[in-house]
Amino acid sequence: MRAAVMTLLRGRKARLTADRRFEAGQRLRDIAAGRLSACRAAKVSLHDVSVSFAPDRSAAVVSGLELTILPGEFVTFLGPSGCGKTTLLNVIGGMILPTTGKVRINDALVTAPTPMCNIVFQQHSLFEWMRVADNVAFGPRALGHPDPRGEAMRFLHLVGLEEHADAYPVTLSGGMRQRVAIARALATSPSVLLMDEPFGALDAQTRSIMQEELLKLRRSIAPTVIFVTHDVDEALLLSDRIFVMRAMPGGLKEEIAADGMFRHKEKVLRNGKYRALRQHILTQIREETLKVFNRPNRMQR
Amino acid sequence: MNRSGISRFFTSFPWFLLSLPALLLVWRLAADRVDNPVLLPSPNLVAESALELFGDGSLVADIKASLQRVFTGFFIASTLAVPLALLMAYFLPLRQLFLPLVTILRPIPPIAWIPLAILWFGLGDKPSYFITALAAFFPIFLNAFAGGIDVQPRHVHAARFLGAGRWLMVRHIYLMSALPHVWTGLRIGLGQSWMAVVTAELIAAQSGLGYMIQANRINLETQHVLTGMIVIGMLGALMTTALGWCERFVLPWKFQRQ
Repeated sequence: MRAAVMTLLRGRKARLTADRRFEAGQRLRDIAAGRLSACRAAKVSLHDVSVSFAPDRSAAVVSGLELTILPGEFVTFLGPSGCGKTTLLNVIGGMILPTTGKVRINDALVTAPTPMCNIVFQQHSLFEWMRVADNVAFGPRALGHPDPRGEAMRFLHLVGLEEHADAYPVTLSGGMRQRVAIARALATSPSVLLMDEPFGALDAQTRSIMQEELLKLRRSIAPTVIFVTHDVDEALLLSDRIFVMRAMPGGLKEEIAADGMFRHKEKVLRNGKYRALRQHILTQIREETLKVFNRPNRMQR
Repeated sequence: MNRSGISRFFTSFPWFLLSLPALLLVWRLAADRVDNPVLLPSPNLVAESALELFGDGSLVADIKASLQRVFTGFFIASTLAVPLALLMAYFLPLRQLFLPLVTILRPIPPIAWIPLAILWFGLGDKPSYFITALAAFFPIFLNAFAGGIDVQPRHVHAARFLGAGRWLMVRHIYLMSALPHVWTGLRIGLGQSWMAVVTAELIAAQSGLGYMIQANRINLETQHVLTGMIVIGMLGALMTTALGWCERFVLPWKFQRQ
């Protein structure tokens, strides 16, 4: 009986995924035909979301999360290691199903990864066997775009890498690979862009340039962005809203409205409000980190 | 050939030019010292034997017979091993069903199958096909299986987010992720079947390089035996080089540098 129910549910999930893929493909064809503007931003809502990897659903990684992210917002999750930032991103993306609660993108329940939402990982996830243009064209091709190569070139131009279209990813630097990954993620015109420490593996200078590039891209393409980072300055620079997360179990500790006030890096460094906010966030994260460190059974875990 | 390939060729080639005459010199000195062409014929004698065997066409016929057996066995092995390994990598019930069998069968050397192969297929080409296929099967299978389970979750997730359906996923993600391992398996498998064909022909065939070596050993024609051995070595090296060249076309991204 249970097996039959599971089979039915799996079938339903597969149909839902196929339907969403069709919708995304239709949307992309509409964008190509000029019937629709690119990157309609979507609302993301999390209702009482908890995630536990234990079979008895104890020891939740994320617990009781209630959150609404508005269309076009740039939201950043900050917090100590292990507080569930990446887990949360995976839940929003549909890579992990929540143990309890629901995630919706524009009122559609998230049950599996769909092209309405796309992700940029910390470590480059480019397909190393494909040339740069083929990597970027993969999404449009999968969704039935009439000119995937042209679409890929358009997004490569946007990230300034059109002259590397025929190169293999292995020949590019770390920063260039992440730019290709961003172009690839944007090429399906996602409504929500998830970014899991996308600049975490880059050196300081490249990271700074990439942050500026991302801001520039946001001006031309404006999906809802959900960003995960450890870097407070990066969060303040890029975000409209910052969520500081608590650890054990992961959840929201504090919501900070940055409202894009700190987008001019050179001006904010001497700004008193910026420095106070930065210090406040660092204190919050430190408190959570110490909480994890001082857990009595930390060594036994 | 790219620049690094050319420079590698030009740095290694002079050493080859040096090592070959050195080997011939040592061989010649050893043959003079032994002074018995049955125990160790001189390089001159072997060269004369090679010309003679090429001249009467028997060596070419033996090479053709051996190559046909190697490629047939290799083709059978790769046709069976690659799909089976990939299916086992992707479907857990198949893995649980077949992996214990593979674990038991794999350590049995191909030579141990020769008596059964003769009983089942008689003498001639068929037992050789069976032995060469068996020798190639396991390296191809194990490497393809490793490739199948080596697919990176981040590639799978990225492809799903990009809207890849099942067919696109299999063709562009699972197969391409496994391809470097599959290729390594094919390279090792071809080498193994080449070694196995000689073993099989020594016992279970009436043509081919292995049979030619065996027949000439009985007739104490050691120079013909050595000719056969050298041809085997040269053909093996040729196959390895050819596969190395093909790799540049099959896995071009592996030859790119930052």
